[in-house]
Amino acid sequence: MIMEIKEKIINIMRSSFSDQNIDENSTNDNTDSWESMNFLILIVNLESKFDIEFQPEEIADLNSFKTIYNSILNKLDKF
Amino acid sequence: MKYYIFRNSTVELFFNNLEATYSDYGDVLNCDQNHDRYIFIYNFLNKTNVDLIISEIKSYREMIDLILSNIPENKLFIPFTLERTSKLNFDNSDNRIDKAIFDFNNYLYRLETENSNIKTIKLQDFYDKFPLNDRINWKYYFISKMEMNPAHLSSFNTWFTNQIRSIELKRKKCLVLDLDNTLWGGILGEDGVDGIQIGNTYPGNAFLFFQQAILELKKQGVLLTVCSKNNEDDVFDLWNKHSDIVLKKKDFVICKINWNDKAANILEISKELNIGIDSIVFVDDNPTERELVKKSLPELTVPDFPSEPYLLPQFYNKILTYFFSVHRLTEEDLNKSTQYINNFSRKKFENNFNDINKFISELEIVLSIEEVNDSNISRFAQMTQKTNQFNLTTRRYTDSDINSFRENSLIYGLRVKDKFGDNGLTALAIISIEDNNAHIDSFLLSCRILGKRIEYEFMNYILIKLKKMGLKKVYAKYIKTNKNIQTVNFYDKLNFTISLDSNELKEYFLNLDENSFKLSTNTYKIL
Repeated sequence: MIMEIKEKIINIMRSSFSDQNIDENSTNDNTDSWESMNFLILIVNLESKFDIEFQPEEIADLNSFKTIYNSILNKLDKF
Repeated sequence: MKYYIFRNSTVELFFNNLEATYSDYGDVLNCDQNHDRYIFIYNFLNKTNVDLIISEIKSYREMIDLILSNIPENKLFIPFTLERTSKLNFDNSDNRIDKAIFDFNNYLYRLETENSNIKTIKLQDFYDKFPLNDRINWKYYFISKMEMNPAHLSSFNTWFTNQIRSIELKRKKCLVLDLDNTLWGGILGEDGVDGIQIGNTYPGNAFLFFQQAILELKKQGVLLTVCSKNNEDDVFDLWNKHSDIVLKKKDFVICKINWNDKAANILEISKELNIGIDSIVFVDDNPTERELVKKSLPELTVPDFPSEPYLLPQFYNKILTYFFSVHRLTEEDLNKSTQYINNFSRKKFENNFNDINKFISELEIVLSIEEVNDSNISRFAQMTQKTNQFNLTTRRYTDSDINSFRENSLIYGLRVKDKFGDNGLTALAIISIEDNNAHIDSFLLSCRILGKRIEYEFMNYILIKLKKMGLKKVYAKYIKTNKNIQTVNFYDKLNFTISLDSNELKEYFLNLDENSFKLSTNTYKIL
């Protein structure tokens, strides 16, 4: 389950950023393709593919794979 | 294709399939002139004060005027109409905003009719798919100034690509239709004239709707043909007797009603109409038949047919949007159906003559040379886009491309009339002039007028003209494509000297001084 979610997030990140190098260590700082438009595409895709919603305050804090993963896990747990 | 996008909100996501540069929000003054196409997509960012909104909408008009005065005249300008993404009126009877939007959009439509380099895109056609409260997502609006709901991203991409395609006129030309369970319910051979379903009750009314819709396609210049496994007499009998049938024999340019293989029939249709398989859409309810035909003719477009008659309107909408929509119809499109029918009587006539020259002169062909101008430029561009078979270089141009050539090129169109009818503008030549030499950039004829040696007459006319201008040499090229093999020896036949002969490309030159050219005034009348 956890691996599936990780893999799903990585795939969505790769397609949103058009960047195959995204992995679990990717962050805003170490990834060139992590720029504002791609990031918006990512948020839109994550919301629709996981059927979740991020609050604007949360979006500002999503700056790495790890924070995204934890945030999504949190949301899915609540059900 | 490089786009420049004037915008006042975040739209990058929606155009991420384009190579595009974006203006700053609301900036219409700074723009790079080196882009190929310019888009204007604005929205009155959801203000709540009606007077403010109205004055903002009014300012868009001035912005457009400014942009038009800044960008090169020959470049395509694509404004989007203004639409509401939300309604925050306090007073329901207050329609001042709607009126301001209406006025602005009309202004765009008027610009479009006055200038062939302006193509307005009607955003409403996109928004119509969604309820008003789904057009904007306020979260994204507030965090990133996005006016369109990002949930509709991919649907916008598809829709917009279709809009651009219809601007570039890449539409199909011919619809091949099956009959049983496609144009009516039931099987004519088994159920008989009175047993098939067409008329005022379901499912007959759904088929009737479909027939009426297809008749509209015919009016828009789409060629209708039939390819059906049936007894021809049964179908003709039905067309004569059945009063509810809308599409009758006269509506089809060709009917292949027989028991032959459908792929073979469609191939014949393409040959008789002189159009490529990739210009044809085949509609048949039988999935096996579709599969078989698709296998032998991979270039053919074969959409899935709906499983239930009540889905026919959606199906029609799909084929209309994907294959036959066009941004603006030219006069030639509208007359095309009649022209192909005329060609048919011409072909029959041809068989009665052995001597082709005699045949041609009896056609009473009148050729008139027409230079490019503002009213025919769309048709010129369209010819470069659509002509595949008799096309020496197959270079595709837009209105703006053609316009940009006007400065240092001769651009001739040829209007062809004969005793059966007016074919309209059906041939084109673009010749660029450099120093004392001419380069034939494009030379093409619509397949409708082939087989009458008009290509030689047209080229001779041009060569005479070039010689009179005092030019020394003419350079020409044949660039091979999948479809233009019939033109491979065109310049050889005109006595051009070949200077390069490779598989894909042949290059030629001709010394104008050493040759003389004559028009066949006995055969053609030239205006």
